[in-house]
Amino acid sequence: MTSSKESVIEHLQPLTTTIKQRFVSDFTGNDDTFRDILTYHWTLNGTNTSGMLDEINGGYEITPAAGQNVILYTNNIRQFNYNASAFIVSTSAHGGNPNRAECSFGFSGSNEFSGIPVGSESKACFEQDSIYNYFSGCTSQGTGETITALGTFTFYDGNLHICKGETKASSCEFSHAGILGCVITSNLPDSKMQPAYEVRNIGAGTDGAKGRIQYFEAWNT
Amino acid sequence: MTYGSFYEITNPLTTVTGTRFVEWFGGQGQIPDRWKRHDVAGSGNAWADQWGLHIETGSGSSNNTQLDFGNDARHFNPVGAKTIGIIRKITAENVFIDGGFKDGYGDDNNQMSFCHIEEYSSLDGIYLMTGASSSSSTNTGVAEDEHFHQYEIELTASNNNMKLDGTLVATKTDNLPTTKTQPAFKILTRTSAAASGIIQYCEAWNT
Repeated sequence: MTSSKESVIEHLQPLTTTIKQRFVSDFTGNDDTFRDILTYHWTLNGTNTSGMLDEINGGYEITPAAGQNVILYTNNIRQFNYNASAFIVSTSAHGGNPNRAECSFGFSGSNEFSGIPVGSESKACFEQDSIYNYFSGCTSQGTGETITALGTFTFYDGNLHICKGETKASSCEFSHAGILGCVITSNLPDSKMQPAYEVRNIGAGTDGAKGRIQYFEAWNT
Repeated sequence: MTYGSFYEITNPLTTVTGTRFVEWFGGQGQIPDRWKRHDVAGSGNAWADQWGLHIETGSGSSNNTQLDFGNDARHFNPVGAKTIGIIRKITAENVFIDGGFKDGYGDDNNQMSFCHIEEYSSLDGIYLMTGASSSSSTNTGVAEDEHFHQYEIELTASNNNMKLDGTLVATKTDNLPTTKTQPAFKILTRTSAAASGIIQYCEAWNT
């Protein structure tokens, strides 16, 4: 049932509750380098050819150079809680076969997702290696790493997927298409994090390894 | 009832939604960064004022200016999308202002679906104007004026329809757009004087 409210925020919480950090990035609009996507919210790091994709539901397409990692992140402005936050991402991954590619997204304390974050930083993210692992949830506090598959489906199918991750007091939960896929209780993040989205062209192939991000919402719970 | 996320206000997490955005046209300065101004003819301008985004044509006859996504991100489906906008023409006479979807920009009426508010000669009125390789308009019967109007345009495979201020006022089945589109606004002066209007809100999504 549809019900109108006086404000957008009241669709999310009553005004008796303190409004916490939240942002929504919709990845549509003109492709000038000064547009808000790369000015106010995000920094793009790594050798790449990227930009708005001029297609229906195109979003922002990130294409790493061969053998390169490219990450979209908030330049280490880490406003999200390690044990009380959530994110929703709509994205698709392309290429990476027969050569390896990896797509990772969610929260990170550093400027990359691969392996255990350096500097004792944390992460709570989805990740998929195009030829090895199933689509997985992944956590780290900077000293160890836990990777748990959500299921046996392949994320690298070129279709849009809607994914939600939550950090809680004693677990991190990862859902796909509204269905809880895995709950991780080890190597949980223990420090502040930022939204991030990374594409790695691991195999240095020219098979079109790329990620398309259409929506990123993050908030503290 | 509250929702778990902004996403879930409009879609459940079991549904992969298409592109959606909301532009409030608030704040100071120039054009919000996702938009690009095209001076199709003449030298127009756009700036924030107390009403929203003020858009103005050049001062030559038929000078016109369009605001769109720069043809970089035509993320909207010509047979499955909606847009809501609030526009107003400030100039009373010899002017039109449009809001809706268009695939490109220029002095043509191709590949578009616009709420068209015009005061000029016998063309006074508010129309739903659509175009594919050629264009046509349906008069809603609502008189043009200098007030804010809220339109909702829906693109489907069989028709384009338009609600004006909450009421369904036009349905068109001819000259429907067929190519990917972007949100767009346009203003044109019919005389040798600059014409201006206001854009206050735009929301668009694939259905």
